Amino acid sequence: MSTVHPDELTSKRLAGQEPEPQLGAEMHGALGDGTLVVDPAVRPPLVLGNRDLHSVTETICGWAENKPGKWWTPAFLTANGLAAVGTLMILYLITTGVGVWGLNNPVGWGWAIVNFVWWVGIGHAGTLISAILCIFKQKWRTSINRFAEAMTIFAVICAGMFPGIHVGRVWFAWFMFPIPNSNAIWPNFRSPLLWDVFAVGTYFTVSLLFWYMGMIPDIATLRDRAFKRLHASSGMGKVQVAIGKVRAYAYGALAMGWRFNFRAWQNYEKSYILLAGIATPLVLSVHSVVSFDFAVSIIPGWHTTIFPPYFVAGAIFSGFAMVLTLLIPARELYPGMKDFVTQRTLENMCKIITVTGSMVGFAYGMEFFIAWYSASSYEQQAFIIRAMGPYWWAYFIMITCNVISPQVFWFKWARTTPWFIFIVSIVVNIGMWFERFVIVTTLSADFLPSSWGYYSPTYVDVLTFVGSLGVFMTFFLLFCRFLPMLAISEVKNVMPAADPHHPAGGAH
Amino acid sequence: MAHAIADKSKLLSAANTALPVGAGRMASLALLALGGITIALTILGAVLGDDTAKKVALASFHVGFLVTLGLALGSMILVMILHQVNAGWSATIRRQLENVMSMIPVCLVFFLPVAILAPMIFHWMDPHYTDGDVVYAAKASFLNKPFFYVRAVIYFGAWLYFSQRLYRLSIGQDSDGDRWRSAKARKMSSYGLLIMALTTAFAAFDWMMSLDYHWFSTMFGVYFFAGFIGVATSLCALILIILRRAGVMEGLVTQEHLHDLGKLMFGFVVFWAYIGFSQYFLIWYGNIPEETMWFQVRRTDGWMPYSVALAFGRFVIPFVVLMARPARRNPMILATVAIWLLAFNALDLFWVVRPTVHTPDGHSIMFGWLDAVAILGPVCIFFGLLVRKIASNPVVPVNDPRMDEGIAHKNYV
Repeated sequence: MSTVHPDELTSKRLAGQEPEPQLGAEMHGALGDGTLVVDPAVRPPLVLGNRDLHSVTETICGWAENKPGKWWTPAFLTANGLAAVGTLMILYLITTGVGVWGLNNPVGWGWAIVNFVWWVGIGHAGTLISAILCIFKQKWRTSINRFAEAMTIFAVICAGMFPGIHVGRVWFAWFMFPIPNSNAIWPNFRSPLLWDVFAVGTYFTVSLLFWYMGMIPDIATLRDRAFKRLHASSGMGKVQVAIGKVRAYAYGALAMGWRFNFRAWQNYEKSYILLAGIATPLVLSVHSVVSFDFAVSIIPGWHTTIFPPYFVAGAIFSGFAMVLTLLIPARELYPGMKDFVTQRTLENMCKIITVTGSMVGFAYGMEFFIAWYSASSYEQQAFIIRAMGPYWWAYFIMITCNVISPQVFWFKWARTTPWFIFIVSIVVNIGMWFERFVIVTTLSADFLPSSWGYYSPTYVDVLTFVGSLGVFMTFFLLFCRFLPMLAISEVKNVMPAADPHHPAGGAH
Repeated sequence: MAHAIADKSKLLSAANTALPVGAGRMASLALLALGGITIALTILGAVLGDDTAKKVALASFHVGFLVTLGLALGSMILVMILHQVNAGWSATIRRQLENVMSMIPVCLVFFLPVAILAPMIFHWMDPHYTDGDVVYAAKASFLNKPFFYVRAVIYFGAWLYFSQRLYRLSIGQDSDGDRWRSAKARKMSSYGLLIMALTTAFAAFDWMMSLDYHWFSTMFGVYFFAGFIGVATSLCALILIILRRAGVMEGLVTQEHLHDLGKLMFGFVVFWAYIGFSQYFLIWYGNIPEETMWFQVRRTDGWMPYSVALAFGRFVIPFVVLMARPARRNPMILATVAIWLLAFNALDLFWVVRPTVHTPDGHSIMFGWLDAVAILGPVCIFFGLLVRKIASNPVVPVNDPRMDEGIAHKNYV
């Protein structure tokens, strides 16, 4: 077999056996930004643009320090407006009652639970990227983990909102927690809804700690730079100095007195891997518990043993899609971000989407097959109604978006073309929302045909969901504005400059 | 730099990567002889015994076949995953997984007697059981003899194709050093994994779930996938530890590789438990008779101790032991856990298959000498032939393009 391959030359160059090309001469389509090498003997670079360590700090801190692009304020105001609409809807709900939603009997769980599961699921990609890929020593994760973890936190906040307002009498929401009270009323410990409270609560706590702890050195960098700017502030107006002081002290408080000494780094590394280890089972357990909400019941179409891993795969699937939905525009909007989030990174994420999407497809197939194989007429009927009943359109959207659409990433062009990935990522987000919708509307045709009904949402349902998107985007834009979007120290760690044995490395 | 290259050629020299001629021959012969004797005893026990003894012998031989199949399939899935994720560290360990994977034809031979005598233990093939059974009638278009055999041909066809292609790509690279073979293997592994997911799941339905043909669980295929891949990792670690003691792979497979294999073993132990627990828990909680009956048998009639042993032996004990970093880095402890997990994987399969065999008046039959010999037969022959396979090729894929990364692999944290 011939060993000639289009990227032969590039491989040699990257391995240092050929001189570096003139910039632009090499950039032919097959290699994209230079990271799409397929030669198995070559590892593509993780950071592009011949950067040294200082320029990494400059670029990433710059995003938080400099004025954002013109797009930021309108985007932030829009997100805020949507969040405000959502808040109004929630106020209307609380003052009036859950009757303002489209819930009926038998569909006692509507959009609220769909949104809850959708948001929790989205969070999972952040934990997978930061914890599981860390344990698997996947270095490409360093450029996206901070971003994805932030997404996790905000998604879980949005998720937690829905059960809270779904309880009907919101002022009794504290009943969800096993708090001793004078009436000796306890939550039902045998109910998966209670386990959800614990699972999601644990998940939020651990994710927040993991995210925050990982960010401390980078916040300290921002702090030091803020103070430096303050000291060099001759010629600044009083207001600017005051803002600068607030910035410096806020970062200072958040950095918790971090000094960049050896011992601190050693402890940091140790706690990072420990938290990664603790977060790893959470990736599986949280959505498994969410799946129990459905699967422990004896509703046909809900009670099936594959639910836990199937929900986990779906969660990672939708989460990666959401990361891509946010990452691809950010990559265009923030100068220099493409040097870190390379086409290779996007390609890897697309592959994970195809894998998890196929797992979800496998689970759909198994559910259908076993429903038939079970010879239980109720099981069979539930699936026939799902695919061909009044909600056939939702089922159709689900299959198209979740099983068929990710298969486009078998083609290299599709998984390396950012605008196209962006479109597919949105399609996947829609599909995963509909998956939960399909599951929930299984209720509309239960055991008693006389009580079958059709569920449709009201405008309050729709706008509350839109409001949660607004809340999510508001948080996210604030994160992009004020915090280090990429893990500065981790990115530096995977650069050749950090390797003392490398020609460009530290030990000269 | 020159120094490093000289080191590498020394590491990959024949003395370090090839076993001496005749190595392992005694072990292989001993295993094959033991396999021959146990198979003879199985046949003897079955021929001389009554109808129930015949069923017991076949069911346990089936368990033995499934043990070997699980090792081969698990190894193949692992090879595919390692190719897919471009795992550099695995360059020096992959050959042993490939050796196990290439044993699929042996599994096919073990399957033949099971396939021929299937009606003895697969009750749905027996009109005595299915006459007037509406549940069977509903699934007869899937569970019927011709389709059962057609499916078996499809599964083995796919497995033989992928295992032999992947094996040849790797062995061929040893001689011609063409690194694009790795790219080819990677490409194959992508759609290969998809096909493996479907074939292993349906094979599990056919050969294990249908033993109790009224019962069903969507998780069943995943349960075996989880168990097989974990046990393949254990076997790989065990082979590497033995080879290291035999004096090859010095500097190629180090404590670092064993450490990572130990982590994978730990991970798959947890994953198996997660899948097994989810399946049990959802059925227990739902408490619908048509689903609980499968576990009901395994909780009563003397099978309960086996269930408890499985939960502790296949999960709790290895979980606790492998949690410790020193245990994963100590070859003796790791090898002990690996053997332990291999044994408990056999128990897992026994626990799934054997309770479906009853005496004519419906009583369970516990583990006996016939079970022991029937399981040992195929397993010993499999290992006997595997030893020969290992000795016949370089113990690492010497020209793997990722070899440098494999050699340099370290766990810093």
